[in-house]
Amino acid sequence: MPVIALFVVLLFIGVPIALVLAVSAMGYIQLSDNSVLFLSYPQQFFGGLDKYGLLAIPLFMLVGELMNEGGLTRRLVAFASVFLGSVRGGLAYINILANMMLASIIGSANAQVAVMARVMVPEMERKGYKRDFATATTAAGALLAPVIPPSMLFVIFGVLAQISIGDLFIAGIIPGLMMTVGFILVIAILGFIHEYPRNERLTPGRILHDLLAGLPSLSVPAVMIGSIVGGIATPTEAAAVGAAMAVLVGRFAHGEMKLHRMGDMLLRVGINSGVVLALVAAAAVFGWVIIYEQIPQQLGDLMQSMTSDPFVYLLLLIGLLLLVGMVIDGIAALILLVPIVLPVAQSVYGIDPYHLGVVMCINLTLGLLTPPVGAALYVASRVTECRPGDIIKSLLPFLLVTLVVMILISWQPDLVTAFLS
Amino acid sequence: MIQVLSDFLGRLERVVLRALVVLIPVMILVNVAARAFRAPIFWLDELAVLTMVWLAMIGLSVTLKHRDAVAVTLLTDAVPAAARKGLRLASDLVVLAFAVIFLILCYRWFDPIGLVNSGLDLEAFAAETFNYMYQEPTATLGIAKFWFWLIMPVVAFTASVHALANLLVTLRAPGADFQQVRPGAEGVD
Amino acid sequence: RELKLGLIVPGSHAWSKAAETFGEDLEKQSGGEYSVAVFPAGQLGSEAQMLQQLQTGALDMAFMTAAEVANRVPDLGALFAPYLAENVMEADRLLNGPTAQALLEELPRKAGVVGLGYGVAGMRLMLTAFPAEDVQGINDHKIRITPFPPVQDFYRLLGAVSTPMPVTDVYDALANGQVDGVDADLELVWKLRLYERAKTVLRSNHMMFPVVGLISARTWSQLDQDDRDLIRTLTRKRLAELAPYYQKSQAETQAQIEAKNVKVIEVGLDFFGDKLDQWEELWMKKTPVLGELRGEAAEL
Ligand code: NA
Ligand code: NA
Repeated sequence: MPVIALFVVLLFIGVPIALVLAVSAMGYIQLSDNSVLFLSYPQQFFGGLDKYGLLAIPLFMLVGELMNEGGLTRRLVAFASVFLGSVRGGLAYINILANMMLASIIGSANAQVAVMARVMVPEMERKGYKRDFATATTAAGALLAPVIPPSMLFVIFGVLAQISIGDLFIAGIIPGLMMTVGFILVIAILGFIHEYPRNERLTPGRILHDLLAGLPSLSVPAVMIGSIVGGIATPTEAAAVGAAMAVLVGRFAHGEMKLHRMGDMLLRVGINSGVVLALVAAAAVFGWVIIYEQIPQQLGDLMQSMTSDPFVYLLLLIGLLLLVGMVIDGIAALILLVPIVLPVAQSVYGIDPYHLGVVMCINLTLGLLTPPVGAALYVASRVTECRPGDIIKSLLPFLLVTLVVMILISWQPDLVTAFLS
Repeated sequence: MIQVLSDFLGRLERVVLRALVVLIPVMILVNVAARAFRAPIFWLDELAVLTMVWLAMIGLSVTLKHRDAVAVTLLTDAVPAAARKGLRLASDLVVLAFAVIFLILCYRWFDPIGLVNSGLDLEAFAAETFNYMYQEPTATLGIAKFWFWLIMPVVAFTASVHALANLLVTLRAPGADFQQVRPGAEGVD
Repeated sequence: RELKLGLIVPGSHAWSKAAETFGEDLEKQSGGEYSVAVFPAGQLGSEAQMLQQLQTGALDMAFMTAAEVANRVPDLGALFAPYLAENVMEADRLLNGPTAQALLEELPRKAGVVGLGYGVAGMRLMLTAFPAEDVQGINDHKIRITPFPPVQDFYRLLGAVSTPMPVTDVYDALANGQVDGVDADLELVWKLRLYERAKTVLRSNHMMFPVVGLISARTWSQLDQDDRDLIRTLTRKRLAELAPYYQKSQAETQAQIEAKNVKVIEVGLDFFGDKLDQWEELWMKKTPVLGELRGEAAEL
């Protein structure tokens, strides 16, 4: 209890959130009379960052910045706009569809927001969308990253639960489609209410021009996908390949990449990565301390004592994961909770592990966008210089759609397991 | 004095930060190319990850210096200027306390005095203190891990300097300076 | 008193089950004086991080791969000599022999932990996405390995391109061709469904893969002799059960994998030609323990 008080007080007096977590963990060690943990504290902080998958964050941030600096994003968006004609809210749909495509390359919502926020938001703003809505649409689109394969969260769940990662990807198909359709509906409704800008009607000459001008820029996603499919690079490495390609195109094809602006851009990538990664490290230390004190285990026992119905259990779990997701980010939370939740779900409630996996992974992805600790939310906020609070307000309809999808798939397991043999 | 030191360290950190942002993708690209030519450099992945940890820690220090880290500003935006100064002081104190405690924890971890007392003999030091930090190997790099861990005390030190400098700025500033939301600040509300 | 015991493997893995049953035994036989909280799946961090927590006394016990412990006590690398043991039962006997047991005595000094005993996992083999008909066929292929000297040397001598990566990435890496083979055991191939992405199992059984039961030297120093004996005996009992478990489960798993249209080729020592001699020559220079282990193995 005193630790929760400490957490809340630190949060509201305006201490940086990474330090709120780090100091609360210190407070907890002190109060729990387990001060020997202090000896491991700095190493555990370091260990929270010492993970290959996290490389994706700075690398994809860099890709986004480079594509923007080199004028690639503007041309790519113009290219895509040709296909949607003069639909109301056209760019918002393009945003979701581009996110869906990118989700099939990237496995992490953080990485996806990092590149898409840089690519889409300035374009949407130029076309007359409000920046917070543009950012929110992008952040929501990034929710698709872990649902459409590849997916870091699915892989880690598969390993922890010892079930097929390939089948877990198949299990994510219908929920992923439901989310995409849901997001498109949100945009259609909001677009009608707020009279989102229509794309202008283009002349044939302009269409031809936009298509041709977009071709060099297309080579960036093309080499990224190609290098993954061709077995040359991992999805993380593909970001570095994409960055190199973006430099070549921006510098030589478009001639827009100016060397004197590189210093600022590199610093921006460094600082923005630092902010997000520090949060990840502090959350890891915090998670480590509470697992030492077996807090998640106790919560799991409490839930089990509350209901005997699988659907109600899943609803309770969704609620719990929303709370956990507020302060601990996806992968750490998964490692913390799967060993506790899975055996109970399987043996007591007879819940299919693929079903549980999809629900938990979508649930924890949502946590990446919820304050006070939401890495993807802050990535978006850093990149677009939009206040997290404003993003959250515009994001709310998208989050609600995701919540509805989660409740639906919890209620009807067939939506997850239909394609599984 | 502290301010000068903080500014100097800040400049240095920004230079290193930029270099690391370039270095990481270069390492990854070299690795991809080498593997494609069937001459993989098996230690490069680990080096890239450890470089990223350095990037993250130095990035943290820079954001603390510039008060650029994400924080909740719901309350700080709502209260009158005088109270805002009070909250700012409290928050600065917490940051300073964290940095200093972190520095002390790193000191206990690296235990330089104990190391000198055992005549810089790592094995004897470990046997005496049960502290095996100097023996920890890296998985593929062939050098001891503590070289990379050194970033922790370094950043603890620079963050302490930045936090102290910021605290002094807050202390000296008249309450009226806290009328507006600080420039560049972002927050959850 | 509650002892905290950490593992890197998931809760459903045989090592974790052994840890659980050890905990139940200890609680019962100590009359409730001791209990054990098991933290599987690397909840407390990587094996390197757990080792550090054992050293500070934050963590009391761990069942840890011998590969990780060998980072502190390089002589343990000799346990990974190719064809030191023919099967898991033989591996278990060798691990309980004088040489392997003597290696445990180095642990308190070199790693700040006390070694209680050994257990095994399945014998190592290769899963390949290419038809590996002879040892030259492995040449130039990218094989995912545990990055650690004896294994690195082995694959280097085979001419393979050894590629370290987290176990969580292997499925995708096989799928997109980033690696085209894996050094693994049957359990890993089956549970991660790696057979979906690579269709040849080279059942070479070329190495054993021991687990070491560890207790923090700090915790150990706080226990009286009776409690130490009890903990050691019960740990060894459950770790010893791993060998017969794997003996049985390996046969079952192989049948399951074969039912998935995976070709299982049984190969032995002669498959590797003179590569094994080269490995032997290299490691004889690295540690005298290898010679002693070979001597013991010859008598089994
Ligand atoms: Na994805
Ligand atoms: Na969150």
